[in-house]
Amino acid sequence: MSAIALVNLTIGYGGDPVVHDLTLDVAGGESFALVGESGSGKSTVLKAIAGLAPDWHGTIEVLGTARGRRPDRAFAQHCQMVFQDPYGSLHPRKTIDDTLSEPLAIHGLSNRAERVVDMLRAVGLDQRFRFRFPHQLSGGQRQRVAIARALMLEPRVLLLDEPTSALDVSVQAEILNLLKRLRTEQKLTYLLVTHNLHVVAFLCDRLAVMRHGRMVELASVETLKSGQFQHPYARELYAASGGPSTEAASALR
Amino acid sequence: MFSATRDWLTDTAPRSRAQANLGRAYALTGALLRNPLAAVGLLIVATLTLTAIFAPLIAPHEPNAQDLANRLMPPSGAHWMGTDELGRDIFSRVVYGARITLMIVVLVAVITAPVGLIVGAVSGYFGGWVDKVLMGITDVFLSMPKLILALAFVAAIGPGIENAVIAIAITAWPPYARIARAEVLTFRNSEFIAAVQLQGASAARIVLRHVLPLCTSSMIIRVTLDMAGIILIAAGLGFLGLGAQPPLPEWGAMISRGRSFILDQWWVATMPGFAIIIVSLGFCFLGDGLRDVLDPKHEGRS
Amino acid sequence: MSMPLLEVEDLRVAFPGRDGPVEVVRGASFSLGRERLGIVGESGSGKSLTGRSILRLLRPPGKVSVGRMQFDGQDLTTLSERRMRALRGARISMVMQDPKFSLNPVMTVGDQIAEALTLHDRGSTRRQRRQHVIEMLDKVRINDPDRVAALYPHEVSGGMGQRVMIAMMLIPEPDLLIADEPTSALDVSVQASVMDLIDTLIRENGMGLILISHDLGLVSRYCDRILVMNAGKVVEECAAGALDQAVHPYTRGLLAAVPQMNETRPFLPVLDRTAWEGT
Repeated sequence: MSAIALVNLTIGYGGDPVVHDLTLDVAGGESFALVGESGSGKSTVLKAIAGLAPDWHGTIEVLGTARGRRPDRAFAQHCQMVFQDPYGSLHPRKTIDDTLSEPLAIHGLSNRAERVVDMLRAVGLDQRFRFRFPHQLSGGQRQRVAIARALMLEPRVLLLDEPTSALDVSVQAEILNLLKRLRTEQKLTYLLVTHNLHVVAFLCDRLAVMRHGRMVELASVETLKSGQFQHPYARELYAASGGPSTEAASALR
Repeated sequence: MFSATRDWLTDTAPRSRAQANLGRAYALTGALLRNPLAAVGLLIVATLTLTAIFAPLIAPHEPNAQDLANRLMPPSGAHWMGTDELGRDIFSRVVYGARITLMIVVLVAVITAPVGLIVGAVSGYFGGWVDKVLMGITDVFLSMPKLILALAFVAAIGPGIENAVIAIAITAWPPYARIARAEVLTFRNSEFIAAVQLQGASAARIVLRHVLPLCTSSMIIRVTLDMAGIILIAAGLGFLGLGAQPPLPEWGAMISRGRSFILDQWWVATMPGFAIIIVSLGFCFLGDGLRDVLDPKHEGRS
Repeated sequence: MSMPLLEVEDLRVAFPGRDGPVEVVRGASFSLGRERLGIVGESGSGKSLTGRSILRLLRPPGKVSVGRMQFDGQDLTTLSERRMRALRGARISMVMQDPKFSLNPVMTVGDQIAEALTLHDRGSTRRQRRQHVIEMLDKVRINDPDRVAALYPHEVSGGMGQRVMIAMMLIPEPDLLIADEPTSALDVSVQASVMDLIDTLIRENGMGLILISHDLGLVSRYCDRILVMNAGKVVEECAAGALDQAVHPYTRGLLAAVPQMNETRPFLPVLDRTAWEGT
């Protein structure tokens, strides 16, 4: 069964559609990337799946169930999202413990303290952080909290919206490693939105290149690694991203 | 022992929710006390509160005990602020007046702040026609001059301190609703609100537990700053004979009565006047200090 | 090397903290001729503060102290604020990260560039200035410069906004351009064209460039020499081509932490900060 199935999906924000007629299938356990530049509509797709962009028509199915226009509780247990900006995605007046307990409280789950402790361990955060406020944490630590929050309800599908683009390179490496490890451990399906092809090469199995709200190419990560794209725009993007390897990296080898 | 408590409060890795929140409160209080004006304000407000609580212990005389033999006596050792036209001790009346002032202030705050918060938060969070209707109502109230509306209201339902409180409350909430709404609009589309929406939280839960806590600090600041104005309106109503009724020792009413003697017995009107000024200033200072400490723009720079 | 364009010795920047001043730049020294110098570092490394300190653009409560800071023979530390203003823009220019915040929203693009010109060249007539602006817009490869000059900042895209900024900064023909993350708000395909443009203009005019960035790849592509900063100190200085001989563990860790296009490692190596910070 596919984890995410989009059929003829068109998404608008009141006016003209920003995503046109998108059909896409992400298999269960797969890590799939939507790649494109700003204005390509890649983030909008993610928002529509999450229920944050209600103005769409077509079909969105997650784990075989068609979803409605608004966030709902049943959906929340299957699919969660990690946002781009670790500084804007945590409530500034709530401790980490409050933030992580909230989804459990909403869904009436018990053993909250225990689950929070376990989850902090799973995302590699020391227990010292449990009762801190977000402003006492670094960007990387906040992003770990955001990932922990998304996993509290044990969803099977995780939507990742540029999860590392606001982070430093060394911190990005830590978060990417974490995401890779969690995916294996918890058998998650990822739908990742990014403009960074290097991240895709590290974390994903397949990718779709988007431009002006349309998918221009669907490719495997092997295609990305070898740079054998069909569509001229995909090749252009590949070249602009530094081609087969950045000079800095080739210098290392 | 003292330093152990301090260490516990300033611990950067609190071990419980209570410790985290107390630690934050401790840091804020410390910051407030380091601001000299705020410290003065806090001192004045604390003095007002203590005076109100311990009025019977502080006042040397019964506030309403008349002594016609000693009418209109100037300030002296026996009567620190002199006596009024019925021979009542003005100092004792000012001390008891603190109770009335504090009651008015607290009642108005308790009524208006939550109403303003909820109207503003609901309006800002839901937007659309909810916003239009609620803000329309708010604007109607906002467009009426405060004192005139209070006057009309008290004239309609009769003078008295409870009615004065209701009248002030009715005219005081709309600005709070406006502030709360503006505040909510700045973070309504933020990612941490989207995150709780995605967790399946109900709208009521989001507004009450996630939106409101973020508006409270600007609300506390605004309410504190407005206290001075509220005290003045209450005194104004008292002065016009529409607030507290005799023989209640309300400061505005006391000034009103002392008006007849202002040239020969200046202390009768002046002493309660001083009390009003000092307490109003106290709230203003405290409000300014709170703004420096609580303002979200300064938060996170610890 | 002939006389260096800019010499900085022992630059320190401190901000007041709860327990006394905290040094954010801790003794950075470097010099630069008419060449392209890259300063790389992560957030908090002090790289941007270093750039701003050269132009004396740091606002209080930040405090700068420097052993020596000379630009083309002039001592920048003792220069009066008036002389400094004349120097900024005319001889040293700065391009910042986001054109949205650097451009005045209520002035047309053309007027803003013209103003940058009038501040430093009062002699020319209106028409000459106008001509000059159009030429400059053409030089930063904006098609249809006449139309663009009449637009307001919100009407231009991010990439075009950054070109306008560059035009504005280069029109007084400065000797040194400081570019602080000039492309990190832009899309990758636009990034390359903006960097190529800066590169060409720098070479054509024989200027010096300080490129401040977090992106090692970008800096190694567009600079001659690289300074790597960490926690307020310059930890490594090397030629851009010799990055593979970098010795400091921080530089090597940074290089290894970038995922590659033909990535085969199951996990990325993570910086072990304890190795050199001692915390």
